[in-house]
Amino acid sequence: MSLAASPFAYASGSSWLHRRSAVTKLAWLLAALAFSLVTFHPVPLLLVTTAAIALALSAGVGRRMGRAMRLLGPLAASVVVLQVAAPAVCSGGCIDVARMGPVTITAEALARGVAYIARLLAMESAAVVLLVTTRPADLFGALRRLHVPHPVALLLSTTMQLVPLLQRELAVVLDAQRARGMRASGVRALAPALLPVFVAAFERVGRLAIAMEARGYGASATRTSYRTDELGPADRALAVAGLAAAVGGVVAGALLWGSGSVPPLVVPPWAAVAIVGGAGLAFAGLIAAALAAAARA
Amino acid sequence: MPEPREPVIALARFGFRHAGSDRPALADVTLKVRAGEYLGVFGATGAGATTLLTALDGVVPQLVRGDASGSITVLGRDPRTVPVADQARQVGLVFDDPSLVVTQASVADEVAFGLENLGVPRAEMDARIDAALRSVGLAGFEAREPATLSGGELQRLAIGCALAAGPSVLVLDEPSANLDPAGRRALYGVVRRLNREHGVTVVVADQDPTSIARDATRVVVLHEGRVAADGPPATVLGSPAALRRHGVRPTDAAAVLEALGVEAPVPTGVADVARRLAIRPGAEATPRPAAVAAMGALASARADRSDTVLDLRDVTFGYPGADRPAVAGVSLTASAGEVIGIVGANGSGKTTLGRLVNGLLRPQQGRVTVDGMDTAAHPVRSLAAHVASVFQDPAQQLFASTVADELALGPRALGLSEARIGERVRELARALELEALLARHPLRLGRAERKLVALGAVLAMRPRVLVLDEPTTGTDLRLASIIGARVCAAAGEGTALLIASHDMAFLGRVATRLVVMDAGRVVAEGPVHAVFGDVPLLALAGLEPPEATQVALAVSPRGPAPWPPVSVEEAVRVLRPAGPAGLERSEPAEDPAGLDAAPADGGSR
Ligand SMILES: Nc1ncnc2c1ncn2[C@@H]1O[C@H](COP(=O)(O)OP(=O)(O)OP(=O)(O)O)[C@@H](O)[C@H]1O
Ligand SMILES: [Mg+2]
Repeated sequence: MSLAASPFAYASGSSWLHRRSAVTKLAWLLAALAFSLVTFHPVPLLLVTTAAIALALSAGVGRRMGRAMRLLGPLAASVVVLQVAAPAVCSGGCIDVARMGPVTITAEALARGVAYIARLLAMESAAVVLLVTTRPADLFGALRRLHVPHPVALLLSTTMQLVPLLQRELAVVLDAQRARGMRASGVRALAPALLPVFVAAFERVGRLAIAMEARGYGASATRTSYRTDELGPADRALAVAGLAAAVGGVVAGALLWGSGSVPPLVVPPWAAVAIVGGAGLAFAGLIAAALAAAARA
Repeated sequence: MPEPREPVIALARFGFRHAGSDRPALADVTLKVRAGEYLGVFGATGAGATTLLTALDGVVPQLVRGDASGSITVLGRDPRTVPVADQARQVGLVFDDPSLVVTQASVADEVAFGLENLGVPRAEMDARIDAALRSVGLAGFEAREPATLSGGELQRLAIGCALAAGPSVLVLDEPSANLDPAGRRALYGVVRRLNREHGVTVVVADQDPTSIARDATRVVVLHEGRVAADGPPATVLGSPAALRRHGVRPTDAAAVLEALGVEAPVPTGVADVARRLAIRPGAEATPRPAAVAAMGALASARADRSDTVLDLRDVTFGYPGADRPAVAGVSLTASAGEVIGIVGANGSGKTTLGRLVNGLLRPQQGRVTVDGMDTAAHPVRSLAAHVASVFQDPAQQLFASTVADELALGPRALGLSEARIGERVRELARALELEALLARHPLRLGRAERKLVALGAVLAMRPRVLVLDEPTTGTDLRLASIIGARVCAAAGEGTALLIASHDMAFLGRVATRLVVMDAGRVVAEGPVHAVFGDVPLLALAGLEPPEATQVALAVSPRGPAPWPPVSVEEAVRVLRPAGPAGLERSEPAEDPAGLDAAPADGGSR
């Protein structure tokens, strides 16, 4: 049975980070996003990523984080490939640094590709830490506390709740297909078999959502939380610090690091080829891994 | 019992038709339930029990769409207008599908989830979670991932979640379907205590009337969406003939009394039945040997075949992270035409054993050989032509968009011609009485019907070995007898069947051999009569024999081999006072197991 938990789903635990209120964690996610979106400067972006990894390690979810990043890394790598493949628009001519067959690698394209990767990794790692240490149900409570409208909060947290369930249902249904002699694997089988599998899995997830409501999920009463501490002074202070950091990030981004532009990345040709080649391989690896996963018997 | 107060539940001419269905699921239901009442709801599959139960917290019609008519009031409010999530504060609902309880990452979180939703203070949670898990026998499971629980463990969790929330109305849909006999007793014990001591109003639907017959203050029988009977359990459940007319299974005890012609049978349990039988005029202390001898016939007729199609040698399997193997050192062989019942408490490894046989799990030690193929050496897909299985949760294995397609999927995967596929589908639809449902979406069917479709889907593959995991959970009289008949027909065609089940009455009717599992090990194995006759051994494994067997043993602890009888039919036959030979049988139509086969010896351990 393939019941490996989704790397993006909540990993139960009782670390200090698990116990922080979801409100606090949302504030810090906001700060991370502010930092990552306001600048392409490598220092703040690396800082955010490093901080996220450190947090994950301190909460004992380093492995989860690693698995999530292994999936997301190649996706980020595809950005480099796309940036290089699409000719960059440079005012006053681009600086060519290397050639790979028919493709010319420009310093501008390279810079944008690398910058986007850094930005994506920073955002992803911050989001993953939050997802993995926060129960969706607690997120619902936090969003309600922040006066996010009830339907929006419910939709957001239910989606988070149901995505890993959907993954589990898919695994189970695929197992059942194999037991019935169907090719539940390989590209050939997936096309015709997958649609009903998805329909079946969605049907089940719909029933799960009903059952959750019948257990009071989304009730108008104020939720309490089993896993997170009360939103006490420490959490409040941390949340305020997070908000301050978000504002600080925006200001620093604009004043210190220059908000939007990316300086061309002039590197020796071999380095350019290595970066683009590596990204290309990672990207190809992702596709290969997806196909292999589908073909696994 | 608390003084009856004003009704907490009042339905007046309430009706409901599911969107897209042409006939109402409930029609003209008028019903008042007072605070502190304990209502048992019975009905054949599709009679409307689930619709009625889910209407009490507003799931019908708020989340399950359709047209509702008439009026319904629960705790003074109309559940059609109160948001379902808010109604949950008062009404605890346990769905008939326990897998729907799985939403959280651990068992403790799962119970906490409901408490959080209701705003229970954190300080109270631990005690409530503890108490709830203890009352359903899941203490020690707190950190387990709910998705990895066994079927019965899940069922216990679903009930525990509802109990923890402390509802004033507790609504249970088929709560005992996946429970072992000890778990069933414990469950109904808890429900009775809540009802008697805490005044909780209870509404429970269960195909197995045994416990409800004793505890309920009132029983309602639904027939095609209408209330067909309403009264005290002794009256309603005491007339087996009427129950059968509505497709409802009577208790074994009542059925035995009825068949033996004891007047006005009030089913209050085994001891009571035995006492009545003992004092009835013309009663006989010892059973008639001739009738007993006939019982072993089935077992020995089947055991004649010697071609082994399934061979497990010292098989061990443990799930990652578990502290003991789920299946440990199991050796077992099955011959063509054998029907082997696998019994054991919840979590004893029955389902895991089935998954080892169909190849979805590979043994970590030992070997599994199916039809000459080592499961470790072949992909599951190629094993599928030889071994098929119906899962404990049938919804997990249905994925066609119509019942007809579902039945055709397997044969198509085997590469049969469309003409032959069509023939098989028609044949099966007839045998399983699924003709009217062929165009329906399998997942829109009731739980029991889904089970039947899943069974049809695997029978269509004509496997040499068939693994059925809890084939009769939640099935009514008709479906259970169809399933029994198909099981026997498949065995007659030479399929070896492995049936994991808590339905001892069903196994008594169809099984030739029983394997008793306890904590992953086989602790006993033998002909069905011998194993069901060994009550102390069964008790050690958390089990008990069918009620009919208990009745017979209470009347006469000993008898000529193979003793004791293992089904109502057998019990009636051997307990009937001696009379002219060739007594007419009470229920000739309900004898799918072919108990009338020629007498032969065998059936002893
Ligand atoms: N995926 C899994 N991961 C870890 N443990 C598991 C997993 N599946 C089952 N188990 C455990 O293995 C043991 C045997 O489970 P199994 O499902 O075989 O029991 P069962 O006899 O079929 O029980 P039931 O009568 O409740 O259906 C149980 O203790 C169960 O909790
Ligand atoms: Mg099981």
